Amino acid sequence: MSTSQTLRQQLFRVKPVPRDGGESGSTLKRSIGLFQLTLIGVGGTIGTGIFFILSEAVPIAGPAVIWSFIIAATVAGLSALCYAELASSVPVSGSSYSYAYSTLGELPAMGVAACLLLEYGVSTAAVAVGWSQYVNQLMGNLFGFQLPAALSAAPEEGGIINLPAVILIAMCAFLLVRGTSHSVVANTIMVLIKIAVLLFFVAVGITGWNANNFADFAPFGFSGVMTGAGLIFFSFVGLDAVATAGDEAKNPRRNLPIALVAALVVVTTMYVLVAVAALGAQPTSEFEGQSAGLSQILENIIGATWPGTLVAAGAVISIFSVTLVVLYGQTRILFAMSRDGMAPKIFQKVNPRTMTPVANTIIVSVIVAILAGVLPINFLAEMTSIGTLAAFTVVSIAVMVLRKREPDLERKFRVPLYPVIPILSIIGCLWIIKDLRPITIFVFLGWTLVVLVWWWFTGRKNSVLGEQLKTGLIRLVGPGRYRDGDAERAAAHLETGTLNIPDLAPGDSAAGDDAAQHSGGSSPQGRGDER
Amino acid sequence: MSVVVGVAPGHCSHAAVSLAVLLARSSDLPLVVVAVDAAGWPPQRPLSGVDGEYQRFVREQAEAALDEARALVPDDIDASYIVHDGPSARRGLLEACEKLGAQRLVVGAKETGPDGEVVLGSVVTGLLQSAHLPVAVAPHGFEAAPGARLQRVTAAYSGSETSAELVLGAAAIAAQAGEGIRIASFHTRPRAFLTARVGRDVENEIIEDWEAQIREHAEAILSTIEQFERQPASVEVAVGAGDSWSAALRSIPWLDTEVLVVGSSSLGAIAKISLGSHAVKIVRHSPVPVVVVPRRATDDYVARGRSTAAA
Repeated sequence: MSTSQTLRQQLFRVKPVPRDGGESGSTLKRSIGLFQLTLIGVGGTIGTGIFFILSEAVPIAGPAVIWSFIIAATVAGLSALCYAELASSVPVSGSSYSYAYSTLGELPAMGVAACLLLEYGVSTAAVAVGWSQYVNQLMGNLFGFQLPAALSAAPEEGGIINLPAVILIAMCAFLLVRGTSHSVVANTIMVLIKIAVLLFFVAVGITGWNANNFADFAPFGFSGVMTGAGLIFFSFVGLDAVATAGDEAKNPRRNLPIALVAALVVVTTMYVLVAVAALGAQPTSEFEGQSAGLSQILENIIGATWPGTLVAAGAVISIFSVTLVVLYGQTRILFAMSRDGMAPKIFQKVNPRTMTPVANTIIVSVIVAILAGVLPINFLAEMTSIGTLAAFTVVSIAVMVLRKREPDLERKFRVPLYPVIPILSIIGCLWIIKDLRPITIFVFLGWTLVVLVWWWFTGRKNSVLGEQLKTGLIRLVGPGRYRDGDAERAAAHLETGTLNIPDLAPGDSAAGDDAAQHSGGSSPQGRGDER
Repeated sequence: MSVVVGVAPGHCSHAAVSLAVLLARSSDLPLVVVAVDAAGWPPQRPLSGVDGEYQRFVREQAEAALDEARALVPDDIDASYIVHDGPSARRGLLEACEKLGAQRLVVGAKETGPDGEVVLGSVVTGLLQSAHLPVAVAPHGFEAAPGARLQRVTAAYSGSETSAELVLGAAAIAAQAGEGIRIASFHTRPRAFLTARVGRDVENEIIEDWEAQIREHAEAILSTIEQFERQPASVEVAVGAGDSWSAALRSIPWLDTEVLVVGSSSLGAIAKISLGSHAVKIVRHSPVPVVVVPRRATDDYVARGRSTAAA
């Protein structure tokens, strides 16, 4: 009988999803048009990296950093297409963790979760560090007062703690605890601010044009360009927001790819324009160590502070909104994992007064604040990139696995030129990862290992899905395939509105009793199988 | 103890009087119709000169408002009619309530805005912010059937401790009057961050969790209510959801003669400036009359509930 689970079954058990537009589909309104969808992509992307990545990437790649941008953009675009297919073939609206759990199985989902936790947590920290540079710049320009280095830089950069970054995260945590949301309108306004600020930078920056700055175009050769691309990939994180919002989009089959490509083109054009203007304005050697880079460059060209102040103000506003969004994402991923039994229960505790997971938000914020307070920005940016790249690799693999395993599955969007694009996406991601600094790769592998070990000892046994399989609520009928074990019991669960989570359904005592009986009888056998 | 209703010349007091009659009949309390004469500053006696003429005019207007109300109050209600001098309509009403030992103050909304929104006038807004007793707001055009009594009281439950106490108080008072009690919580569907790349399902799960907790707490409150000497006519728990407050409040069924009791959960000094944001949204969008119990009045309200339950 299927009451015992082999190790293989445990590793690759797949979380079932309501396939026939179940409850999750019924309340859905397809209300987002092509234009808004594009803006979601642009809004999710611009604002993370471009404000400070040049001072990190130009010293590595030289003026050829322009190619780094284009390579990073291409890989991000390919991966986002794969992401869009995966998102559209699973009728849940979740993160890539949920998609991996519903397609590849539990172990790959935990791998993706490790990447995501890294990506979100570290990128919040990285963005907060960038914010602190611009806040300091803004304060200096407006009030003639700057925080001393000891309070505005990481220990490795000669400070003690990056205080503004910590304060930013505290403010965002406060908003999230109170409960807040980000509407289509708010997104549009933020996008307009960001684009206006960047265009202003380009317009002013281009007046300081000096072609000589491009004389030594690629001083560090192709490997410099690729390492730069690894850093810069960080500033394309967020493009997949289009794929996640896809289930609310009108006519996704047509609009998803157009919106993705349009957002990518807009974002890349902006980035390249900014990079060209910045490179034309000052020699490669001056980028290194420049804080609040875009503001500094303008001030050097004009010889006055006001353009720098303007850019700094725009950066402060837009980076704030990005930090809020990413911190939010982090808490919700942990919430989803906790509901699956993959993360400690404290992460799913909702405060009835605020309707938000308060403990979750506070824990995440404290950890992120510590990261932001003590780690330097280039390390944070690389860690974000590797997390995203690894998650994208898994997503691209998932697309191929799912095509093979469930060829008839309804997909609202299919990757064009299959299997070329997923394969290119995988190659691109791995290639960029290869050229990252070894320390980044080691820390990443170490972290993933920690998460998987943790899963082995706790999540594997606490898995809500595992419990359902054990009790026969759901039965596996092959790798990655399942069917409801007992139609009657499944129906009872549908009624209580908790298809997947029997232990959270109050009053569903029948299944609870069953679970107790079954696990009592079958667990010794189950353990025998595992070892 | 009495139910006080404020009427003002030039304002339609039909809805307020109708609600006040309903509440007075339901709780077997006398009704006092108060018109505030707020013309005199400083109040001068004897009335003379131009100012005196104006003050006489205002007093006549107040009397006229009372006459208008008199025509609306049916015979089965023990009603009295007074003109109260006060520095302003708001303070005059509150003074009158204090003097009369009022249990409730009933006022009317200004008008009905687009989408059936209840628009509050400046006096009512001020009252909600400064009153020390529960204030019932009658939506514009509210009218109870002749001889009707309240069938049910719905108490809004926010999940907080104070709110739970308020629900208990409302239940005791409802039980005393032979009415039903319903514990209701509302939420507007959350809109997730579109650019956060985590999808919307997780927000739905958070709401599921929230609803499960609210229902659990509400059941606990119900079991406390079961220990009352006198039981409410009916008990019920409801959770309303919608895209807006208006939709959320309308997503649960309402009886013809029902009021919604809501605490204004403002904190300390802020309470003087504004209503708790949820309370004011509920007042604006409620399809039934709302009784706002200020934080300051909650203890009193609960104590009264307790004493009636014990009696």
